[in-house]
Amino acid sequence: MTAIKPAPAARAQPVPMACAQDERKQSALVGFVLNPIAGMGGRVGLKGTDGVVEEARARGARPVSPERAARCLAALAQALAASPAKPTPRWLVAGGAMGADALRAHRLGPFEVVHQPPPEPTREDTLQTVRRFVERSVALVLFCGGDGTARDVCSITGTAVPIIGIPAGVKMYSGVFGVSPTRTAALVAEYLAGSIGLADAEVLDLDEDAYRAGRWEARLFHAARTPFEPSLTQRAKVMSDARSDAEVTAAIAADVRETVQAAPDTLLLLGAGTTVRAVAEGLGVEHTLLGVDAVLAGRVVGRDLDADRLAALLERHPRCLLVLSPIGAQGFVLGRGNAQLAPEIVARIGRGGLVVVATPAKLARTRCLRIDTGDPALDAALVGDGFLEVRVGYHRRRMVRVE
Amino acid sequence: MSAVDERDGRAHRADSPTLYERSRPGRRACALPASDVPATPLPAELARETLRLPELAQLDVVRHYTALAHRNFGVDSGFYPLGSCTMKYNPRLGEEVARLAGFAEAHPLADAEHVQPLLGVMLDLQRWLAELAGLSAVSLQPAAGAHGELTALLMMRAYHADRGEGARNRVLIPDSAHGTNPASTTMAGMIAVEIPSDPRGNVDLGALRAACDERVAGLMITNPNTLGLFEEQIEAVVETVHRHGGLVYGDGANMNALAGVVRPGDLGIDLMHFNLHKTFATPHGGGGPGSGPVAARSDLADYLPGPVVARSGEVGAGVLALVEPRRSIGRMCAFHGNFGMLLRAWAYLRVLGGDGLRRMAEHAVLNANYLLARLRGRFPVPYDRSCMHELVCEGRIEGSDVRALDICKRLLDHGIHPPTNYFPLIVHEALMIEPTETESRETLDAFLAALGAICDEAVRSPERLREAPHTTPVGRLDEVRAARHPVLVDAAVGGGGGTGAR
Amino acid sequence: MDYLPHTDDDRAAMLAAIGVDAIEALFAAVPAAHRWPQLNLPRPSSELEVAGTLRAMAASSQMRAAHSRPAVEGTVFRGGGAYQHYRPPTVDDVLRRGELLTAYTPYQPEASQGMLQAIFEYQSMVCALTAMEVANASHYDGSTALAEGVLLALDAAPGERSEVLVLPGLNPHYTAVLQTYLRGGAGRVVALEEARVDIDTVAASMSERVAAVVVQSPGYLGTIAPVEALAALAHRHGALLVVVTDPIALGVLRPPGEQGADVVVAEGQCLGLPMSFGGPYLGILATRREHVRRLAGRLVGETVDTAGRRGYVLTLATREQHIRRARATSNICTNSALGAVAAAVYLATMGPAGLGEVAMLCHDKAHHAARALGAIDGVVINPQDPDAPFFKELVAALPCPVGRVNRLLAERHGIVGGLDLGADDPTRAGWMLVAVTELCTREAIDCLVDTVREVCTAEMGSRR
Repeated sequence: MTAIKPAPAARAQPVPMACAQDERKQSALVGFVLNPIAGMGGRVGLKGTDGVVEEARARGARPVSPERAARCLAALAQALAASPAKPTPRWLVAGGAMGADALRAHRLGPFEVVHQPPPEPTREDTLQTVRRFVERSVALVLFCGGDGTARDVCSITGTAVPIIGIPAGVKMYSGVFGVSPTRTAALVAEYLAGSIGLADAEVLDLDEDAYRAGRWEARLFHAARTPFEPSLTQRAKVMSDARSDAEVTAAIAADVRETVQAAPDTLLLLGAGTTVRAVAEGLGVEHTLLGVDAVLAGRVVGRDLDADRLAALLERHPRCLLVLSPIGAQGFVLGRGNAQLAPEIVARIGRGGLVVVATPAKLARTRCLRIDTGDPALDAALVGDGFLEVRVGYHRRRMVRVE
Repeated sequence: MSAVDERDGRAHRADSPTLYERSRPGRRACALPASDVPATPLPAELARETLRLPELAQLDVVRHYTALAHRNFGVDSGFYPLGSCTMKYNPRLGEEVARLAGFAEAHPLADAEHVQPLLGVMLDLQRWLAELAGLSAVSLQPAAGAHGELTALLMMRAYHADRGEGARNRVLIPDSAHGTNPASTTMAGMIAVEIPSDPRGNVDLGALRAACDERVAGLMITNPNTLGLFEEQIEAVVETVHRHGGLVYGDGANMNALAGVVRPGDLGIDLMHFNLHKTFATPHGGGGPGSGPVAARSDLADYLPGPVVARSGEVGAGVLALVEPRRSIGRMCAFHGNFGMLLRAWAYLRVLGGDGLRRMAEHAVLNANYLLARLRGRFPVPYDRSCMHELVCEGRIEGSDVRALDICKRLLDHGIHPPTNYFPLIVHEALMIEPTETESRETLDAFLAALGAICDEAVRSPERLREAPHTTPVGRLDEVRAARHPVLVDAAVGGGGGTGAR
Repeated sequence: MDYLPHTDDDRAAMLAAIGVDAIEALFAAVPAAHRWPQLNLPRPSSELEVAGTLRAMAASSQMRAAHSRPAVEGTVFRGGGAYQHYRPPTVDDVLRRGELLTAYTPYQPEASQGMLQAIFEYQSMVCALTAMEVANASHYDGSTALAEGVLLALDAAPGERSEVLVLPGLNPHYTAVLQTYLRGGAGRVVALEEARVDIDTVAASMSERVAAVVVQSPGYLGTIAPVEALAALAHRHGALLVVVTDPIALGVLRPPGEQGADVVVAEGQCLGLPMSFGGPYLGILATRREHVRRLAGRLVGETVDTAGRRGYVLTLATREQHIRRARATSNICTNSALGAVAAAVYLATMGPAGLGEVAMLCHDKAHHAARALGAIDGVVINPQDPDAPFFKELVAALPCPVGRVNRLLAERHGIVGGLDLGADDPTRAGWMLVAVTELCTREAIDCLVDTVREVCTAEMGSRR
């Protein structure tokens, strides 16, 4: 076996534990924004609240996000007090129901209102508030809402400011939510205490019109940074922490790199998503976050390819590996969001040509993987006996159920 | 003795002084006899100038370590239900016999005729462990469980390579297996493939079949697994792997449930390791030394690490020797294994005998099931069926959001060592509880009462839990600071050997 | 006998709580055909009987405590990786403390401050002894510490290097263990087959493929290697220098850390542990601070608790999971923590003065023995490298079979003679590797010398 050294990661990222870089954010500035109408649609069968607030109200919906936020903030107050590092964050908030009321109720320390919303706040108020947060260089944005809120927050912060969501929406496919309000609080406290770092995450949203029409189309909207929930906190048998997300993805990249180097004449197609992007970085190539790129012998030979150009490439290079990662929390490996990978292209690559990569943290949020190429017969062939092998580290694979 | 610390009322002195802080230049704890040979000058270029070791009187040394012992918790201190570690009573007999001069003073490279009784101890243990495993040969060389795992994987590799199947490089590992298995696989140059569990906590046979192909080197199975459950389809699991040409390795860390109950070899296991520091009651020593002998099926025996003990010379001549197995993977450590641990295990096995081992396993399982029955209403049990020697529940309390870690820390205030927590990873907020057979019903009841009190407290005053432990020499420690700003040597040494007086 | 506390009443009450009639019912998941096998194992015995059996076996072993009869019987001149040294009584006293002996790895730091502080102090003293910057909490023995140290060096070396250059003088068992550990493919051993470490030969063997140079000093045959020159040479070629050493020697010898070593490993048995027929021992591993995150095994670090009180924790979850290269992985879990405690108590008891005295006694006695043996007609000292300095071990090339000398030493004096290097290597027939420690009295050395002289004279006489 030849050991391979991965190319240096292109991203300069904070690596918790492994590199003593970022100091704890003991008295950090944190932004908090609450979308008071998030989640209203779900209770009344509206599959999302975007654009249908009036109807949701008419159907008797009551706000759910204030209650979710309250649970999170109560847990946060306790978690901060119990932390050995004793972080004492200072807060920026939107006024009234959009944050200030909740924060005051839980005595989370000094806060400053940066945006005063009208009695019936809209999306624009969220955007305005987050703009103020970014201007004031907050260390973290804590928001409460669903995928729509995440999309709005992330459209302002990008990857420059880390965000984390208290889950309160109808749809929560994005990777920036804690699994529960109390777990979100724990992550915030641990992040402010400096004990966990950041990970890349995808912010997705469904096209709600399509969703209400019975179609399920998630779109990858943005890449974000979010406090990284360690996937391994195995304290007993082996003293091992999952280190940073960057280290895990670098290990996956090294694993794929080894496969590629063993077959240098193989065409490598790189699908969408942040984990695949890390693989691309490990290979030393640029990557289109939302598209499909082609690499041959270490060089990019096609960028953001459409179905026709993919087909043409495959014609010339029949030996091909397709690197894919489940997107968001739905676990879609194929279908939804990568329409370029048309059924005939996937069929040509075949099950043996699929290289699925995912971090254990991501898999922890994904009940099972899904394949929906649009061709039921092909789907059945790809699903095979119901399990896909996923690369989760260097020389680490996991059999994951696929539907 | 100790003053109360005004900061948090803890009945301990603020800091326990280090050896270096106790040190005063010129103090001695030991003197050597005057030389009875002429001095030979040491060339100046070879001589060191300073040596920064602490200087103490003998009483200082004894008091220092007495104080440290008081700040530590062992099985001797109280109940220690650390899951998958088998923290049972360590008979004092073992400590006594391991110190007998005929054993302790034996040089590992002594002439074989001078150490026949020692080789006899090793030969007995090889046979007894092979008998318990239902396998044909044993090497006592590996020094710990993980060392045994690596041994077995290297044997698998060599076995396949000899059959022209060196391309087999995938090792299947259930997600309920021990945490060291994947790391051992990577060290052995192979690829670890994790197999999920099914809803009953068994290996998911569908996933296993999907992972089995001509690339499979073998399966590492912990049985009972880290959920404390016996693999109900063990024979089907073994058959599936064998059908694809793979070998099945048994992680023997949990043999405390099975010794004398079933022989892994009878279930089709090809290779396994034992943890003498778990099943056979040798002390854990605060993290070792242990001992991890490996047993193998007859056609794998030639690959065992050497040396092993065998009768040499004419049949019946009765002369024991250390020999290398024919196709041995080589040495795993410099000599023949942790003999001191082998001796303790030998004594334990002789005291218990075959019948005692079966009773040991039965009562280990009885104790665990008793706890399971009494804990079932209090904590969620994710895979609820009759357990073996340990049980796993979720450290969640109805009406409170305290975490498994808080429960564990509060147990310390009750004088109980916490269970293993956050492992296995497939259980949310896992508490993995292994009582062992040497604990009495009163101890188990006291443990249950402590958990009951903690559950009440979790609802009434959760902050007491979050700030626990309150009675230990120190409170919760800042692990982030330790990792961020690592202080790994005493300031008196600095980082480079120092310039202290010599 | 067993160690069970259960009374019949306990069993009945517990079974009732579980809701089964008999313990056997709890084993229903075990395939019935294989349940309760007939085992060919000994019958149960009392502790008294087992202790008696073992006492008789120990007594029939030819091994004795040092000085079990004044000054001579029980002396061990055998080394080769395990040595008879003085063990001050403080050491075993601490090892018998149940709070330490019966604890496990300190996962719960609040309840494990004793073990954690003891390991922290061990790390500190190992750094002082080796002049290195960090030491981990231990490996199984010196040979496995070497293997892990080499894996560290392979990971740290620049580029795609995979060769491990092993210099003459490495304990052959260590080479063997290193070979086993490298079966996973992390690197390969290139062994220099010379009689001695020669800096020009080493220089000629260096290339950009060499990741690590391994040298033992004092070497397997006792001689001291030019560590400083080797470090400079290795570094010039971008490789790391891994030094295997003897902690007792470091009581007086210049530490490898001062000479540029990147990794220092050692067998710690000599620091207060009995030879115990090969184990348990103590693998010492120390390195430079820049490699701290490549260290395998456990590390203890200092920190504070919620009230600001000093405390210790396991830290820097080192080279274990989620690592991107095979060579950067270690599976070590249980190690040799109690052995590390033993070494710490030993070093604390000895102090700098005591350890220096032990080392000088070894040195002086070994040189005295060398002079006396070398004066015998036909005996050559250190034929492989006659001019090299040595510490406590030396080769005496005898004109007679080593086995004959050793038999006489055992029969007449109860002395374990030197190691017969010719047993495994015909080119070294007659070579006796003699280890001389502070426990070898002048009288015992005289016995060795007289016996060698007698056997040599007889042998030479019969040849004439």
